[in-house]
Amino acid sequence: MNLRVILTAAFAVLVIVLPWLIPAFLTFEFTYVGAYAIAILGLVILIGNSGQISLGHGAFVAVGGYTVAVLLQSLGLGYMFAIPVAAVVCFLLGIVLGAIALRLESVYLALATFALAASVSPLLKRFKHVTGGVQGISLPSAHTPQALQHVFPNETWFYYLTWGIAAVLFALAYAGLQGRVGRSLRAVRDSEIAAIAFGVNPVFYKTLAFGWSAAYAGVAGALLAVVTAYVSPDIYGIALSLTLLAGAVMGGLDLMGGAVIGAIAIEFLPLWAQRVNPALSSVVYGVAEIAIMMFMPIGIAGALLRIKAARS
Amino acid sequence: MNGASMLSAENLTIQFGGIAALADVSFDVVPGQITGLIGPNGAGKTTCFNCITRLYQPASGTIIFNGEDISRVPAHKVLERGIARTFQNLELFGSMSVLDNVRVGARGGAREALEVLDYVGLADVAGRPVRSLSFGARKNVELARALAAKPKLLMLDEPAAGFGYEEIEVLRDTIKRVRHDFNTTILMVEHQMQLVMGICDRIIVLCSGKKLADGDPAAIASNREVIEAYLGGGC
Repeated sequence: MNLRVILTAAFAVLVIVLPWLIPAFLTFEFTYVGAYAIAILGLVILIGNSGQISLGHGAFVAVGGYTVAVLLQSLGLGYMFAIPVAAVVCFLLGIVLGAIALRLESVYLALATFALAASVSPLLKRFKHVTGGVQGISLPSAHTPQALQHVFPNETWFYYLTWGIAAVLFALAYAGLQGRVGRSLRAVRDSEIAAIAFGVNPVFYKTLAFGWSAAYAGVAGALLAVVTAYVSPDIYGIALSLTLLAGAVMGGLDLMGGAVIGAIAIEFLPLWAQRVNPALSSVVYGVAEIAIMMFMPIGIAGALLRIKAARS
Repeated sequence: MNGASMLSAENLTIQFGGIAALADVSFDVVPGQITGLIGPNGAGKTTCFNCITRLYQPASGTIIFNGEDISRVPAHKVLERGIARTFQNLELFGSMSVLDNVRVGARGGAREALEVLDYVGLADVAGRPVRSLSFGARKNVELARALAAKPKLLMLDEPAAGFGYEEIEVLRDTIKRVRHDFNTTILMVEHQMQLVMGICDRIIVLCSGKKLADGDPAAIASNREVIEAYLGGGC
């Protein structure tokens, strides 16, 4: 049996049994890890496969979060309906950004997406009547569905919901990236001229990559909003976009498993840094990130694969 | 122009920054033949290739392929019309495996791609990243990628560039074999005169963006203007 299959199966079992082994607050942390993994997977698709950079995916996390918040709070809809809506809204916005990105390259694209990330929080504060302004929106607290209430406590239900959605989105990404779509994305990244000559439409695939990754960021934002039961402008500052990017790079940009590792890193590294030295936690976090990139320049997942390859 | 031609370039003209890279160039490619496109550096050979494959939009002129005017067809739709090409400076998908490179162009699936790789003798490195291959092997990946598309017209841009004497001998056989085994028509840009004279049925000579001569190898070899152009006398 293929090592990758065994690892994936072992990881799936671990995800399933984990909430029964750890305290409730840790279940919350691991729910965040699942949501971050979805957002980072979006960046793996966009940056790792299509070769376009985004410093602004936090904006889509924000749109996903606020879409759910507005649908739940103002319109009284259920989260099972609101999460797919957030995905569609972000997909369409991603397509729009992708169309703009076609005209920008490398650092110019980085700067444009950075500006997008920076503008989210002020925009949210500006349109108070929809977004609740600085105070944000408190969501009606979501619960485990009636029939399952004596099986799962709330935090366990949302943990499974998040990881269940993550599993579906990872499977979808796997199928897409292994097949014709993934080959076309990477072909455009490696040589646009040759890709065109061999029947690949770069406009279509570059825009699709933006839409696809934005949809993933939107679902992540929707899940985070449901789990936290709260959205506010300050959650979605530039730091969020950069943290997601750091997670993607630390995990490894060309490997899907890197998205999970990157999500674990951005969730737990800051907590660990806090414990090492509360006064200098951000310095410790920064040094840890630099160390990871120095010793594992292709990301943690890439480094693990390399160790495996060296052994065999 | 005539009914028997597979590809007709008619009055192609294109300028770059005021300089005419192609000026009113017309020629035909006859099905089943190997047609050579030669000329000194800067003659407009690759520009001509890029016009036919629609990477460049000529300022005027038309390109007829199998009876269809493809002058306005988007570049990524040229492959499905039946035209595949290689590039003068390798344009492979460097980070991808040899097999995936070929699969981008393949009409069929992995099996067809593997068959073509087997044909060019690269089946055993199918899983390797293409950038880990030698120069010669990478040129063969380019050929395999084009062949996997089952082209009616195969366009080779300097297939012998960077090759030594023995490799050129092998290439000569390969091109002949490909024409027969894939039942395809070939248009190639090439500097290596021995190769061009040895396998082409017909040769078109470009010089400074204009067509200088058009004929079979014997006629071209004895054409005074062509000889002067190649000896540096200009056109």
